[in-house]
Amino acid sequence: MAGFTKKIRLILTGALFFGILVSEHLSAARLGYLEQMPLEAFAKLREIERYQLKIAEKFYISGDYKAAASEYEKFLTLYERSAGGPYSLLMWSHCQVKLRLVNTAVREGFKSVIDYWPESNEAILSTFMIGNCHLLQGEPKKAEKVFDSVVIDYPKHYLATLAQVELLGIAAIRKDEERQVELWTSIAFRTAKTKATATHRSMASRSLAMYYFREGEFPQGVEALSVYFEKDNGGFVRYTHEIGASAVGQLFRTDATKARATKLAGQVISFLEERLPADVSRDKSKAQARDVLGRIASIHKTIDRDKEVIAAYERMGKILGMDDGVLGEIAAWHKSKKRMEQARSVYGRYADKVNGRRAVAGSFREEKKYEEAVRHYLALIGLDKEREATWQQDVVSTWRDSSQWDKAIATYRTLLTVDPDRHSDWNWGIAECYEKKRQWPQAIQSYRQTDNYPEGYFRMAECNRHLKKWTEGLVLLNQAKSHENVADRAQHRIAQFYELAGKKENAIKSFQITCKKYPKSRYASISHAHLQTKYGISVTLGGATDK
Amino acid sequence: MSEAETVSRSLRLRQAIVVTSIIGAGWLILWFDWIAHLSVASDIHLQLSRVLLWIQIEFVGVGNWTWYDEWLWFKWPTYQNPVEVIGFCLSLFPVAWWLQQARKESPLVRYAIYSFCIFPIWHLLTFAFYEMGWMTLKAMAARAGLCITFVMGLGWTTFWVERKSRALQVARLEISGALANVGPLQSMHASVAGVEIGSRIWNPFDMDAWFYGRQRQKLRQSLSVLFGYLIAFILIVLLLLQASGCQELYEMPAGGGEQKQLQQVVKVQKVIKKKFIINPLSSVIFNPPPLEEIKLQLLEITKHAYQVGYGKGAGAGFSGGTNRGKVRFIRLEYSGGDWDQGIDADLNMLIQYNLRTQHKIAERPETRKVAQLKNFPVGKSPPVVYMTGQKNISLGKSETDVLRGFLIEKHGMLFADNGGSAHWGNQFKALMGRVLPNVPYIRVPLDHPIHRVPYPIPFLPYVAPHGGTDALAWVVDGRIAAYYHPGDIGDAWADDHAGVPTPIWEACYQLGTNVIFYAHAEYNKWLDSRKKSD
Repeated sequence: MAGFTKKIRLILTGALFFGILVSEHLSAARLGYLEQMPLEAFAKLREIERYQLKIAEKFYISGDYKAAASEYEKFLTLYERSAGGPYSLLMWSHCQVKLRLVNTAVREGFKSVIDYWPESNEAILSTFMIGNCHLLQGEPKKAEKVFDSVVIDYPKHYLATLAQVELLGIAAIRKDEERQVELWTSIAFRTAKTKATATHRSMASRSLAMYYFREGEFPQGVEALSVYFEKDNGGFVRYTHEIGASAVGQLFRTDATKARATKLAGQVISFLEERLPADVSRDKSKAQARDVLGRIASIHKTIDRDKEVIAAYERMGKILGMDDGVLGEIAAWHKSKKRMEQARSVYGRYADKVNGRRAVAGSFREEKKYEEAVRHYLALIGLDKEREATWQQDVVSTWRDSSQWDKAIATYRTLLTVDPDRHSDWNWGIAECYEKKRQWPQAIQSYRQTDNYPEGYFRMAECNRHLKKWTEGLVLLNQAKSHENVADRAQHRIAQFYELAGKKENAIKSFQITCKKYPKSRYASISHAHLQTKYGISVTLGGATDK
Repeated sequence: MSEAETVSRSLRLRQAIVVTSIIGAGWLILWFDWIAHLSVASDIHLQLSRVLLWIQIEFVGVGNWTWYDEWLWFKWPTYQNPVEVIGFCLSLFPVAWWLQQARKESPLVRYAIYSFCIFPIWHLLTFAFYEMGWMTLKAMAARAGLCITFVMGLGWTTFWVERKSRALQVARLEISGALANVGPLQSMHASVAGVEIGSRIWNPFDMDAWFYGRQRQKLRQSLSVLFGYLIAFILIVLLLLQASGCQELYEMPAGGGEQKQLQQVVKVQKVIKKKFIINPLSSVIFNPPPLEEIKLQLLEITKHAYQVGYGKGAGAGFSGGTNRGKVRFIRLEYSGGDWDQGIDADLNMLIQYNLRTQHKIAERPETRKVAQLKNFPVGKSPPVVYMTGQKNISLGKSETDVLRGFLIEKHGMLFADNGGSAHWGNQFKALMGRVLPNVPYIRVPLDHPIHRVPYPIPFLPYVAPHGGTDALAWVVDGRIAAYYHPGDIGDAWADDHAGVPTPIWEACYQLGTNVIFYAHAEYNKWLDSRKKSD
């Protein structure tokens, strides 16, 4: 028995320890890289110090930066000689930045970390943060100096990469392409290949490739991408194609660069052709061939080569078999070229007849041949009865597109029997149709049968507005006002209702209430401006601070 | 009327015309200058000062010109433009005389006199309202005068064209001796004189000109006159509005001070409560209060522990300023929107700035068009201009260039206040994107000097959140070149403070003071650095 209890205790302790570890890991994950404490330093802390930091961190994560700053300050006062000192001061400075006290953060926080603990990891973070603060203050020159020093002083540190990313941002604002290329090259080629730097290396590789592609230097672009995607052939092909297509598209827009676009398109296609697997008997190579051929077709699309696009898809059909996927691509291309009949004939070749017919119906809808579209959607019910609700939804959307409200209402009523679980949605649709028909009482009745509140109150109030039933409208808006998240909107609408009803004094009072009760809302802004322009009233009340 | 009387009258008329022409010419110069919102007085003053200085150096041998300054500028403390006050008032005398004379003249001459007299009266009214500081009335008078001028001009043009046209018709009728084949009703809008076949008339006053066609010539001529007049009027108005006049100066008030926060001083005053000495043998019994109770009254007062200003100098001001310099509040006029929204509040802010900093200020706020900013020379331009509105901002390329020059070369600052819509905020951001294309905006930190000196403002106050709740800034070389307030700070400066709570409008005044002071202090630093580099 004693052994059993011991076992349970052990399991419980283990679970607790695991729980603490997980929770610590999760909370750490919520903090950014610049806000995290090195594990070695954390290990040196006493339990009471850790507890104090956890309290501060809790406030920090919840966004209560003022309280968090006090807690970090308390840590510094209580445990002056602790290993967590620099971290605590760093976090205090982060709190100041969040509280928009950037100068204070630099002067009393980050600089002090560097002065008191120059050898700590936090000192490096602080240096970087000083650069960031300069950027927040709109001083890119000072920031540039700081980031440069980080890159030179700590070349192996992750922050060197981050600093280069910030430098890229500065160069982009200055439209200094030369510097951008220099930094992209440095990040893509010379940064340590770690998991942490992956995002930045990927970004730099892609940007550099884009630059080289636009400049007509395809091999350099490919080389830039290959540095990052050396172990990921799929990604390499994908990004070469995507960036290549984007560059081709950009160059193809102007007559002066059209020749370059065509040349680049040829290079991208050749690159893709080289990646086409010779043997497509295996599923993996089949998928690869489909992907590559699809990309080749898309390049042809970018430079508007009609015949080549069709040829590329037919080639795909020959190699992989003419399945619905390939047919869909061909039909989509025909549709984009406004060849609807050809597109429909391709849809007719679908192995999946349901999908084919749905696509045909969609093409009629695009052509605004609504009756034809509905005929095909209704035929789908016969083909696939189980998904009747889906087809009826397509029908109702078609009737709505064609502004045939009565037919839409009838279809919604059918939906009420086919799919009664979503009765609120269908009633909402019916109400909207009645609104379009300007049948306000029926619309109100349908809105009442929905459970979409408080939006329903607003809609019903609008219907009452059309009926000039001001009192009913105001009652509904006051009901909506009880919902805290729309109270400002409701109050503003109440004022407008009074205005429309010709009750000027009530309207002014209500607009003023909007300003006074919800001074931070955008409705306060609208009410304030309206009171001034419409009524010439300057005393609009309101007024607030950004606290 | 005897011959002698006729001669005497004609002589008197000639004299009157000469005197009126002289006064009219003077008035025209003043008016032209003033509608461009430039103070010709300052220019005249400068020229006069130079002449007097030359006389003094030549004949007295002393080169000090301070007393002229004081005489010319401080003799007329009430008026901003004393020369214009005199000039416009003088023009009333010939107006009165001519109005008196008009009664004796034929209707045509009488109406012509009335028409001419409208101009000086209109401008005197507009100018008077401006001098009184009644900006809304000034704007109304200016617009009403423009409308009257348009209608009056249209009337005279129509009359003139009609007369000429009729004369030509009559002349042709006399030659041909027969009416054209038109009925009485048609003659209301068609020519009644027949044109010789084969002739092609080009005279636009002639209804039978080929371009009026063969039917409804009168209607076409009238429409042509109307559109022609409209285009000419618009062109003239645009031309006058473009006129930016001569150079003008902005000088900061001389003095000195520190660019530091106001000190909060807490004065502790001990109030010792009355102590009761009780006779233990007394028949009256009451509970004495604790003898040791001392009530402390803490009175927090804020006082200037230093002079608000920048640099070394006597009195509050700026080391780069001059004795005649003043802090002026200049509002920018721009097309497309309501630049003059809440303009009456500008004076309140100016007065509050004076009360809070003790800097010398101008009598009243001013307005300038964007194009006029180029008239200020480098080193003597306004450190800050204010703009607000809630509609559109439409500035052309030349105006954008002027604004860029003002912000960068002239080291000026733009204080923008969103007066009523998110749209205006977006327009302003787009404008700044064109003015300073390589400068992204930042959210101004709450501990930035502009939010700290002289008043520490722990939050951003606003009347309504038209464009968010953050103050934005465009920073050039570490200096805020444009400050954007998102929530109608100008409304809080108005007499009724838009009904917002006292702490909010007080903070709005403090923020306004901070922004104006920041711009002047930065301008002073720049002047100092220029001096050093020279």
